[in-house]
Amino acid sequence: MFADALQQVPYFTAREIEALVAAWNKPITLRRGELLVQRGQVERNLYFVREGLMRIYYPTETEEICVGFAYPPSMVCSFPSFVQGTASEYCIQALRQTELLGISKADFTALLELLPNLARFWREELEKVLVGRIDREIDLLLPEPERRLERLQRRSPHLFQLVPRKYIASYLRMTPETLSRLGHR
Amino acid sequence: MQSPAFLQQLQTAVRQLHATVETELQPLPDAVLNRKPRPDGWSVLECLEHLNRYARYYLPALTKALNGRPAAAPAAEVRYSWLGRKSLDLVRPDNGRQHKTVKHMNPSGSQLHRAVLTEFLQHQAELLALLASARTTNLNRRTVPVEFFRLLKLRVGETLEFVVRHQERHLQQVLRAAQTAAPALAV
Repeated sequence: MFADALQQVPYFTAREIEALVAAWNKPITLRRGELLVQRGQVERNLYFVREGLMRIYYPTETEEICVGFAYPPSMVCSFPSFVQGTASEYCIQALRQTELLGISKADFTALLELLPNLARFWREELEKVLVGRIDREIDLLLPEPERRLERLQRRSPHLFQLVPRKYIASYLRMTPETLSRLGHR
Repeated sequence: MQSPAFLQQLQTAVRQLHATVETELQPLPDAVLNRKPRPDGWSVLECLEHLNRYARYYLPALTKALNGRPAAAPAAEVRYSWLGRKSLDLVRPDNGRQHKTVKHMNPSGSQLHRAVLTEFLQHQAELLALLASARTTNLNRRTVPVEFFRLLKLRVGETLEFVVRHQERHLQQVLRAAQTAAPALAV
């Protein structure tokens, strides 16, 4: 599954894929409800999701605010913690039985130096994430829940098939009741 | 084409469809089965649900057509009606044109689970049984009401071919939709 996904990146050579598969070598299985990352923990790995579904959330005293989802073929980590080496403010939780492959930050950084195509791939992913974040910021600034919903349906229609409603509602900053009233298809 | 060869060809095609779903699709994770290649495109499960909806109509209609009357003497040569040719032309897998789907056959946006795969495989088994029992019938009898306008009737043979070719067409679409995407960073 990991190699298949890498093969979809047109510029990776067979040897690079081999090197990536060899390095991304820490398998982890989480049961439904288990946390991959807790608040306060420092994120030292980057994970590839082979199977399952996860949510990334920001815990507050009153609620757990969904900020993102990961499912095959996502790569996931608590990003600010991974990059800065600080304690994570986010939790990452398996919503179903989930299988991951991890690579340590040290190994990943070494590979980025070694494989220019991986560096290119990582830069392109960061660009996409930034564009996604800008879109998401606009979503959150729109006062009308139906417009937030409509933008998400356009951008990520598959989320509605994969993720339980209450998490999508939280992600869209509306109550589950509002989400069902808006009658998403 | 001669009836036995015609049925043989369809049986081979159905076995192929069954094998493809079993080996290529069943191992895939839910996220891939549900992923839409484009916002307005169909996911793997949506394509198969579309086929299941057709099968839920045509398989019982064909069963009725095959059991309804005492077996007539099989005709040697399979012949087509104008409507049959027209219908087959629309669903030929090599016909690259897109068609609009009638609303009740369009699964887009419905909640779908892996059970769609199981149902599709069951339909293939039923279809194989129908093709076997069609050996003793006259395939040119015009007895199967068309799904979207039941006053019109199709011949037994051309209906069987329609169901199989329609499935082949969408299986190609399914395999395109099932290609694993490149990894994407979620933060």
